[in-house]
Amino acid sequence: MSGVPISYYLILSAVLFTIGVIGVLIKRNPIVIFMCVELMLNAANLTFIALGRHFGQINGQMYVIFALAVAAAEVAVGLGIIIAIFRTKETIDIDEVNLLKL
Amino acid sequence: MRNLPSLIILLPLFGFLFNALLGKRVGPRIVSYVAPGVVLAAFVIAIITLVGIVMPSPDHREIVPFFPFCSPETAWISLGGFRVNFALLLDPLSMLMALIVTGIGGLIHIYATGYMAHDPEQPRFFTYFNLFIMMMLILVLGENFLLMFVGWEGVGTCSYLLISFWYTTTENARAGNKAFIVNRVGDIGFALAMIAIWSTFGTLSFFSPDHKSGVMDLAFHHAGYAGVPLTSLPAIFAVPNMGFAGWPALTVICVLLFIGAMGKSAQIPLWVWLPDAMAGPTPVSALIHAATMVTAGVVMLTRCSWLFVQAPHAMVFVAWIGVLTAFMGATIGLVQNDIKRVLAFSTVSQLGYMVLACGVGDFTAGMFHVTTHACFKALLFLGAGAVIHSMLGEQDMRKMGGLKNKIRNTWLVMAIGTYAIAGFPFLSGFWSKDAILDAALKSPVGFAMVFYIIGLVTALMTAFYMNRLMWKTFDTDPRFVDGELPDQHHSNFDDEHEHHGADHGAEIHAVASHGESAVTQESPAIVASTAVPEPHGDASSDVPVYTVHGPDDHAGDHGHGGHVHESLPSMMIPLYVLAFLSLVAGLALGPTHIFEKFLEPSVAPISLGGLSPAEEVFKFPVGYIISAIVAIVGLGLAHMLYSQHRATGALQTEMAKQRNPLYHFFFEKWGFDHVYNAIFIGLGGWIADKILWRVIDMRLIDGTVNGLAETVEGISALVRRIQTGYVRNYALGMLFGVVALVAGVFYVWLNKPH
Amino acid sequence: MKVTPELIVFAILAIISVVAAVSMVATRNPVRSALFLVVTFLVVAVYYITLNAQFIAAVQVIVYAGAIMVLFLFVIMLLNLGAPQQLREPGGLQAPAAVLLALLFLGVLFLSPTFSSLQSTSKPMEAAVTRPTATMEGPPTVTPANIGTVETVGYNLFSPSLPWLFPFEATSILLLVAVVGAIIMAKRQL
Repeated sequence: MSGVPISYYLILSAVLFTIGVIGVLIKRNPIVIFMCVELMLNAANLTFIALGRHFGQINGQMYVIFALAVAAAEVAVGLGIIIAIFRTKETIDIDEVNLLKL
Repeated sequence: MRNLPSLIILLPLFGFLFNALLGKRVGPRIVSYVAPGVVLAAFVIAIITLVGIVMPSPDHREIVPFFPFCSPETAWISLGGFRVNFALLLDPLSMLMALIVTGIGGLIHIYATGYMAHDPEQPRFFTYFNLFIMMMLILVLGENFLLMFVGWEGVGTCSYLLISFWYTTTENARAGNKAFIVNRVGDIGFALAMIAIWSTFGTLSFFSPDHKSGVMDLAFHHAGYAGVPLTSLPAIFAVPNMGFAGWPALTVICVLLFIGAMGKSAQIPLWVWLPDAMAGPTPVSALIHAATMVTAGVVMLTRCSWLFVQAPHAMVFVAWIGVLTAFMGATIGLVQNDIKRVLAFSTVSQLGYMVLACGVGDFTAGMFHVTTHACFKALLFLGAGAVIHSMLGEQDMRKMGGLKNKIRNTWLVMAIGTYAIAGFPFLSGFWSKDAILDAALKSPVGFAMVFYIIGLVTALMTAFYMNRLMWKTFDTDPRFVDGELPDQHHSNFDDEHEHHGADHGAEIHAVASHGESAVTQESPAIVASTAVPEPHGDASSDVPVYTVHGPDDHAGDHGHGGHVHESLPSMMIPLYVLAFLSLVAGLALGPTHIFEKFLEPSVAPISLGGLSPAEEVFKFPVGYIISAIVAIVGLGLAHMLYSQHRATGALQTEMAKQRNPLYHFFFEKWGFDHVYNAIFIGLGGWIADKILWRVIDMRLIDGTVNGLAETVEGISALVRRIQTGYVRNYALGMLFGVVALVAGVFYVWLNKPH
Repeated sequence: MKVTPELIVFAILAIISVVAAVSMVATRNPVRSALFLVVTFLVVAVYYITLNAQFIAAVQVIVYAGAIMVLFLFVIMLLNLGAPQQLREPGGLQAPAAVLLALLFLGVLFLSPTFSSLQSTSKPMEAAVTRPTATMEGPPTVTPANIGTVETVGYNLFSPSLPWLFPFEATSILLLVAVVGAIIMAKRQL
């Protein structure tokens, strides 16, 4: 669409990113923390796309594709880790998981 | 030939090393040959040196190497402009002292072989004794101030080692400490003087071979600048010298040097160590504290006569201290009860005389008195040692008396010594003491009559107290029971058998029990023998075994236990030699002016400093006659008074003495020890405890160190709380870092000049 | 700033996405968190469309909303973590500090020069007016309109003369590794 200045998109993605940061720092359930990380990734992707569109280059979208792929892989492995931790300790409260040795 | 004089020092060094390393192994007998042997050998070499090197030399002054087959230019320290060589200075003064040290030292060594024969630690004794001789020789033969200082400190150390030889008694150890520490106070003066000398003259050597660049040479060449800063020295000195803090350089140097002499030669205020030094064995007192070490100060003053005569202010100071010391020493000696103490204070007094002589410019008279005093004071001390040995260790004159017939030979030599020191006409002391009094009368720095009167009064007192000593010891009625003398011989670790002492009399009692009870005790170095005076093996057979001289062993060689007996020949022969010297040395050297002529090249005349003698008061023989009268009066007074108190041996009753304030004042050594105790130990101790320890050490230093540690601990306790273990907190930290980083980057970016 | 329809749509969608994000963070129920996140993802996909990144928008929906969030929900259900958690947490300095710091971060971002320069030079984006024409002979003409079409993206990804081929192939290995890793992590015994 036309008529929306790029800075609005940037502001929006900054806000979303900040919300994601707050979530990472506040929540205690690692899965929810993970979800907030995904939110942060998405905000970054939005920035990429917006700036790519602003400068008329394809690079922004390329970065996003790969970021997307990596995010997916990361989620898979991360959830695997969480499952593994949950099997050893019955809780996944992140404050309880404060020892290097489980 | 030039390599020979270094042997004078190397021989005692060899003796020291031999006794130190092998002494215990070869046993006391061999040690008793080696130790005096090296000293007497050094004496012979000193004579050869004197005759072969010094006398033939054009100005009687030679500089020879310290180590044989090296050059006298061998540098000890060479740092930029500061150079000190290993060299020996041979001139009449140093040879005179070398002869005294080795000669009289050798005699005392022979005496000591008898005196210390039964001490289990005899090898250690002779180790220190030889070391002392070596150090003293370095002191007198050294070519520069630094070598002299080495010897200076060395004899101080040996004095400490020897005074506290029987260190298991706390008193002896304390006495050694006192001697060394008080000596060191004086050494500060000497060290500062060396610094001042170097900064003024640029060198520390006394003389140089070319007669131009030694300290004394320079002082000689610039004579006449008495009391004026030495500003016009040659350009070899980079730093122009205006004296020190406005005072003329030479005065400062001489006063500082004299402070060193105060410590070493027991002048006021640093004399307090000498009486306590009597805690050492008697040969030590004879050698160190009568003949040699204490005269080192006088030797140094004479060596620096070239400086002193150009600093009349310093000379006045020296003379006053000397005469006051002489007076004070005599007054205290009047009332002492310990035979060695009397002699100690007599030494203090005589040293005062020597210093007085130097102070009034007649260094030759001072050295003459050094020489004669060495003879008769050593004689007196050794004789006192013989008395003590005969009395089985008793030193208190109040418990003696009536010994004249029992130990006649000892009495004879002691009498000769007494008359010599009192100044009886024609004996050696007469000539030397009168020379000093004459010099005092001609004092070029003023106060002639005052010095003379005080000196005369002191001579009177000297004669009096010496004869008092003789009377109390020999002539009065005996105040002990012969045959029941308690054995008070000293040795280390002797508390094991000390308690046997009192119950030994003439009876030969159960020897076996004595032997066994001693053997079963722990004694590291001693195995007490039974009546059999031969070494026997023990369980610890690697410990060399000496016989301990119990009273029953005394029975073996000296007669029955507990009796007074004459001393060994090894002890008596040196006494005879010294007695002979005391009789004739003065006569031979003094009035014939041999001594004066001999010493002339080493001593500066007072005219060098622009001084001249005071007006003559007496014509020639009057001074001598007055001295003779004073001596005879003093001796006679004592004779008269004590012959009326034969029974008690004391002029006053004990109670009367206690009520006499003058007696107390003299007995308490004019309160010096009390004052020093109050100041240094009392006040100093208080400061050390309350301020230096509690405040500075505990609060400041410990507080800082501990406080530092505690601060670190505190900070780390705070910082530690960052590491919570919670991942969320770490994430927060990361965010914090990111914010800071981004803000920083943007700040730089925004402020970048476009 | 003219109030155009695009702006109004943007604003509405922005409100929805922010509210959803905040709710995701605020809710105690992990399942609700997940669902709010899905809403956010969908809104972002719409944004991608408005920014001419059609392909990415589709991929976003399929991958993120369709696969990743499903995975999240699977795990939540598997571990039975659906119960709401306690709100009060001990040692409570973390939360206010986090919020403060995050807001600070936001402020710093707003101060960024890029932001201000973009603000000053921003121009509204143009709409797509013509359809792209891609032939086999050459690249499609890249106009603002067809910048995000499948053709363009595909050409850029697979063209050997462009740098994107290699990362694309490498991504396949990455995904393989991720799959293997996830399986190993989740196995009960190796």
